[in-house]
Amino acid sequence: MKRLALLAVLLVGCFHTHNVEKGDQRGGEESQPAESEGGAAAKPGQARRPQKPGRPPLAAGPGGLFVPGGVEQLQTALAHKGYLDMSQAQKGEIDAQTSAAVRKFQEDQGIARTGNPDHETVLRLGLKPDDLFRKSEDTKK
Amino acid sequence: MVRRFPRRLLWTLAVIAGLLFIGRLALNPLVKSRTQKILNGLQGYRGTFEDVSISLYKLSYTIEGLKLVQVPTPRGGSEKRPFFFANRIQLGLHWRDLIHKHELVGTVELDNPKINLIAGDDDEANQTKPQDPQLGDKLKKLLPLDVDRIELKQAEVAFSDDTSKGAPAIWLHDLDATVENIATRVGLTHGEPTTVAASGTLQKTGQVSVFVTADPLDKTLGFSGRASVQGLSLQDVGNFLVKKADLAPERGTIDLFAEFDAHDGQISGGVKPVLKDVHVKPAKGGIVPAIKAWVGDAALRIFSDRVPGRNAVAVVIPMEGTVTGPKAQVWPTVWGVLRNAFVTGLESGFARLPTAGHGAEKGALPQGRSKGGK
Repeated sequence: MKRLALLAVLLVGCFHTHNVEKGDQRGGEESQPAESEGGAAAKPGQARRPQKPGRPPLAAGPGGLFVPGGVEQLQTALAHKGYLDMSQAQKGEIDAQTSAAVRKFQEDQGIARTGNPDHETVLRLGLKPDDLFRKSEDTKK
Repeated sequence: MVRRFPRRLLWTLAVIAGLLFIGRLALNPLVKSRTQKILNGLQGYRGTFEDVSISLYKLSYTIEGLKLVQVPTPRGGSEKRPFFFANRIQLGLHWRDLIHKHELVGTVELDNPKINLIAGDDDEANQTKPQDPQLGDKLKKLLPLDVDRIELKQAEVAFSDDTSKGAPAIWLHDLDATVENIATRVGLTHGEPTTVAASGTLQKTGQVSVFVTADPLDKTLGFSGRASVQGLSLQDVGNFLVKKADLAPERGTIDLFAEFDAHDGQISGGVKPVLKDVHVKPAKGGIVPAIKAWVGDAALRIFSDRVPGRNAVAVVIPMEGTVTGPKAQVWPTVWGVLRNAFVTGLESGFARLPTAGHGAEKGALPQGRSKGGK
């Protein structure tokens, strides 16, 4: 019985070891619990759950608040200002590189360095927040 | 007649300019007097400040050196550990919204704000929550605007537990945070959620990141977000672990990743603590704690991923809970979930160690209980 228990413990250990390696390979921002693990959304750039009718969209990560193509616009603006190397960043995702670029831009602008591309940051990048961020369905109409 | 008219106009303009000048000179003393009057009206606090100024160009109000000291001063507290202090707070009108959306909304910027939370044995010794239930409403009188954005730069939150010897202290510093799209009515939401983002340092080593979106007007509570602490040295939270598990970490770090989601009163999510290169020793002398520490190390070796120089251990603890009742509020619930995720993650990182002292969850949010990891 004790041997069985020990074997079970070792198997669980191996399973977790596998998960840790996967998590570390993803690195930084992506090192979140996966959906199957009871945690994050499988697609980090998307909102975590369907938007309720007439309610604002909610998201587990900053990328989920952008309209399709919005993150690319943000990355392009950061690249034009010399804050982001597009070859290093994952296009269309607020990955660790994009977040670090946003933070550096915020620092240079003297605003709070959160790494989150909020309205103020987007405005200072010369972009229009109304064009970039998702809204509730009734507001669009 | 033709010559008199310009002279009269000039005199009128000069008088207006003079009145404006005198008014401008009198403005700051008037605002100082009003600020002190509002601070004097706070229950349980002595409010002081160094300077107050008004900018007509920026349409802003700035208060410098604001300090709120709890009265009577708790045993652990003093002038050096006030409940709240900020080097500079600026409340300004949002020009853009005034021009483009014809809305009178403003922003609040806080430079170097600091909150000192002190847990004491009784109510008098406690400095953990606002003494005045209307503190926010009273401070809002300083500039009665709808606030759309709050920005914190280089903020600090210090928590100390004066109830026990070797009190665990938590220090969150170098914290930059923003709260955007704060809406108190539907018209102000513009169809977007309230967003909170923060980045800072926990203790000396842990890099903290928080992102939360919430629907502030959803009566059934709707929010979603994630938080992480990376590279937190276990020695930085040694006192906490000694209290929880009778174990003192000698080396090692912990990363915590949490994601959560709430809709229709149901909270779900997960916390993943990742222990790296951990070595613990008994916190107390004697054979039993020594065995605990030895078995603890053995368990860490079994679960380690055996990458040289890392030795990481990870598990995911699902979180779930229910929030019911008409008085449920979104932000206290979000704070409760974050706090619960941190405590659960830190505890559960060591949950497989055969230690004592893992009874009731400390600091756990009653409605947001952990399902596993115990």
